Amino acid sequence: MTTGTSREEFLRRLRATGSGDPGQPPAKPRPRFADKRGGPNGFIESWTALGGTAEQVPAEDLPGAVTAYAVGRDGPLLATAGLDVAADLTWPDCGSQAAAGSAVGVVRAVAAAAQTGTVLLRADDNRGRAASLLPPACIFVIDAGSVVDTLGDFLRDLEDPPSQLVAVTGPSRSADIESTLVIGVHGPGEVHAILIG
Amino acid sequence: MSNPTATPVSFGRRADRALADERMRAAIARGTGLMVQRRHEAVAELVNADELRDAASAIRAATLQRLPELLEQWSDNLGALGGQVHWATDADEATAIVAGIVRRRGGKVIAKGKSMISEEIHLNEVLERAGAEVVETDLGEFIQQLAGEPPSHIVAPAMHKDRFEVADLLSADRGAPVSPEIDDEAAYARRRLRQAFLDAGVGITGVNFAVASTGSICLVENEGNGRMCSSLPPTHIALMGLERIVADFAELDVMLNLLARSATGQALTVYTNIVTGPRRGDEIDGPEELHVVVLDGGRSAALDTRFSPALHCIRCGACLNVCPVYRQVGGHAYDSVYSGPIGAVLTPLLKPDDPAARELSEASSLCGACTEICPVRIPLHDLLLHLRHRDAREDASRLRRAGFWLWSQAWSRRWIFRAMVLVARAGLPLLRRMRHLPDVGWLGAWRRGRELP
Amino acid sequence: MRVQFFASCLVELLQPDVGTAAQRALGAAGHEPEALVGATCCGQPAYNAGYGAEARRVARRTLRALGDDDRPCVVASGSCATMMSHHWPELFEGTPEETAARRAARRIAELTAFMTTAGSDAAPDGGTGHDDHADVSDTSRAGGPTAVIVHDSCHALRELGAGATVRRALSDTGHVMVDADGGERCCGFGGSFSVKMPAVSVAMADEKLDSFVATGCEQVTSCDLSCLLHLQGRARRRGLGLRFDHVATLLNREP
Ligand code: SF4
Repeated sequence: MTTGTSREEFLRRLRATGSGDPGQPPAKPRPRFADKRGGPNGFIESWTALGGTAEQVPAEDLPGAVTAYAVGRDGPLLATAGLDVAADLTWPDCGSQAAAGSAVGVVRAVAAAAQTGTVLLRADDNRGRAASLLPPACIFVIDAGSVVDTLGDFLRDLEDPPSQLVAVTGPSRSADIESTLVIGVHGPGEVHAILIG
Repeated sequence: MSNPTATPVSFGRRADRALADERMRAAIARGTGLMVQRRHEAVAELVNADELRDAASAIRAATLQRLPELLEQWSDNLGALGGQVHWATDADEATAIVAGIVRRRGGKVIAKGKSMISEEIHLNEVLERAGAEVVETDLGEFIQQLAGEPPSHIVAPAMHKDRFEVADLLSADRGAPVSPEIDDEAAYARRRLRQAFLDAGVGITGVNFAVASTGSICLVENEGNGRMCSSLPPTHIALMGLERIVADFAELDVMLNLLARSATGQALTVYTNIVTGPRRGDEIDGPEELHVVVLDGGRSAALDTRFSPALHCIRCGACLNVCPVYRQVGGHAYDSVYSGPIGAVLTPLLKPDDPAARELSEASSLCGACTEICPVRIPLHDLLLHLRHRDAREDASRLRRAGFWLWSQAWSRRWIFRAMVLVARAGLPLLRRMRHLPDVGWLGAWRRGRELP
Repeated sequence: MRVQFFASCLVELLQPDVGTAAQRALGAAGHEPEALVGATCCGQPAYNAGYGAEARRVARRTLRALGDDDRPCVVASGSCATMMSHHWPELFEGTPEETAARRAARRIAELTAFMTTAGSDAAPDGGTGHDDHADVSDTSRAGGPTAVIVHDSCHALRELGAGATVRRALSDTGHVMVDADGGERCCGFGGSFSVKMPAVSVAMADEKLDSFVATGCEQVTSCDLSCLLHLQGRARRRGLGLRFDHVATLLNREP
């Protein structure tokens, strides 16, 4: 493509400005909180305060927990996402059209942050980004041992980020009309965390 | 040429028009008030908010000092992972790049997330002229698109509308009534826009931060539309200003802890998307192509000036929310993509030759509320003052210049000053009693709405 | 303490009583104020409008009047104190007066900031800077129709940290205060802003005045006469029964 400016030209203009000397590298402090939250319980407290629901179950009870959450929902199928949790549920081929038609998505989180009630999803960890995005409800399966304090604790140690890493902090929301909160605008309005262990 | 509905050229005129719009003013007062309150509560959760703000300010300053190096590192890293980086000197180049990608990648429908850069370069007009259907998917931007208006706030684009106005717009779009209940309005938008995400050949978003150490771009949002635009269409185009870069994830952490708290009073936005290249290997969804367009658009010219702190801005909107002028007149009175204090600083920097842009530095009482709240400690009201010092003399009428010169001659001589004191004491009571003073000059401006002292 | 005293041009021009009252208040607190001879104005009107040379020309007159002195200079205006303590060094940067301006800047103190800290170790530094207006909020919540509404001028509040000192000076003299809603919001004066953007300026005043009326109290005060004249001008036009007096006047008045 020939439109645009070459990188060399673009950066050359910038090199003409600034000292190029950043001086002392800036400090990068971690946030500290008055109401500090940690561990699975801390996560659950933050997550539910945002409007999510949560439970903690032993690993073998996961299929049952998923099924229990999904039954009675008005939608054809669950969107799958690399989790072999519930052999007795019907899993469609994944992909955005399938996910769009599903009532509940189930995805595995790589970690969670207790302070803010945040769930972390890696694109390469799940069979599809759409599963946690298009259905009106989503189940996040979290290993209780993977709960860190803050998103920053996770990010600062992250070396090879996947093609997409999403930190999900509660249900989809908007305050674009009259600054009034509404839940479930484009992403899932119902979010359920199942902590394992 | 005289079009009564055309946007007036002076801020004062536009402000007059805005002041007459009681409905808009009520919406803005309510919206900004709530955002400020939520922001205070969210910042209060941080024990070390001041430390973080100082750090954020230092990080932004250091970034600008080594911008070429960071951009190079970032684009090398992203390129190695299959991301394509484009460099645009100005709006024309940026829109041409995007239009080229859209043409090549096909797709009639373009799903668009919130991007101030796209507003800055008037991207929609260009794409629509090329025959594409551009769908704004952020709820506020969607409302604004239906209204045929630019956003009036960098975080809450439709803050100036109440739910009844929104219902009218949505009903017209639907061709059937949408009730003025906010839940129903949001539900309608969800249904209406869902197909656009699935049909779109190209998704366009902004970028909040680019991370040099990994080649990532980070995009924060609450609704999920940004995630949709960056996950579902086969091509994702992200637009960013050249200053949007941070060195690594530790810096990103500092910024993320301040951004959402300052913007909407959340600890984090619902979705923090960190995209590092297009879909990889055997991933079953995600864009096949990722393009990032980096815009200069006048920014590099501000880098070596005393105004460079304006480029530290992380677009949280807090300065708009506390600004007493913005509170009265809303965003459209600024007639710029960027409104409020940061808009009044940034617009004349990005459009140095536009006298209408330079006039914006006058749209402030210099009260300093913006400076006080800015998470990255941009001295906004000082910058406004410096802009006045840069431009006032050049832009002023000869009368105004002469007025200040005369004043300074008089006030620098004690005897004239004393004489003026006597004149004022004798004259003011007379002036006050005169009912029919000519409404001209400063005297007239003062008497417009106020009695003389 | 022996101090210099600068009333500000607006006080001299429009309300000389305020200057007298300020000096009397200083005297009553055991200080010996001596009015600056030959001073006119701090240069702020031109400075804030973007006219540096004109501002310098005027400020130079007042800088000279400050002379080569070690005494604090007490200023009966928050915004002029800000101009002199915070902006003079920059205004005179690169001129022969630069050193004098810097030295003078350190001697400037806003009236209430001086009155509430003089005698303590705090050197005058434009204001005190260290006060948090939450400090005295318990004195300002009390009400009653005779309570005083304190209008925080932006300069005093944000650059001098004098929001607390006005209140403390008033409570030291037995006044009861009340806080109006949106107290930290600008009244819309803003110097040249008030005449460049008159409609916006007046709209800002209106919101302020409405918040005053809502307190049920009538007496408004501030350490800045300019804000008060703007608010008073608007209140009169609207026929509101609010009274506006500079804090120096109230310090001399029985509560
Ligand atoms: S200038 Fe500061 S307060 Fe205003 S939008 Fe930018 S970061 Fe936020």
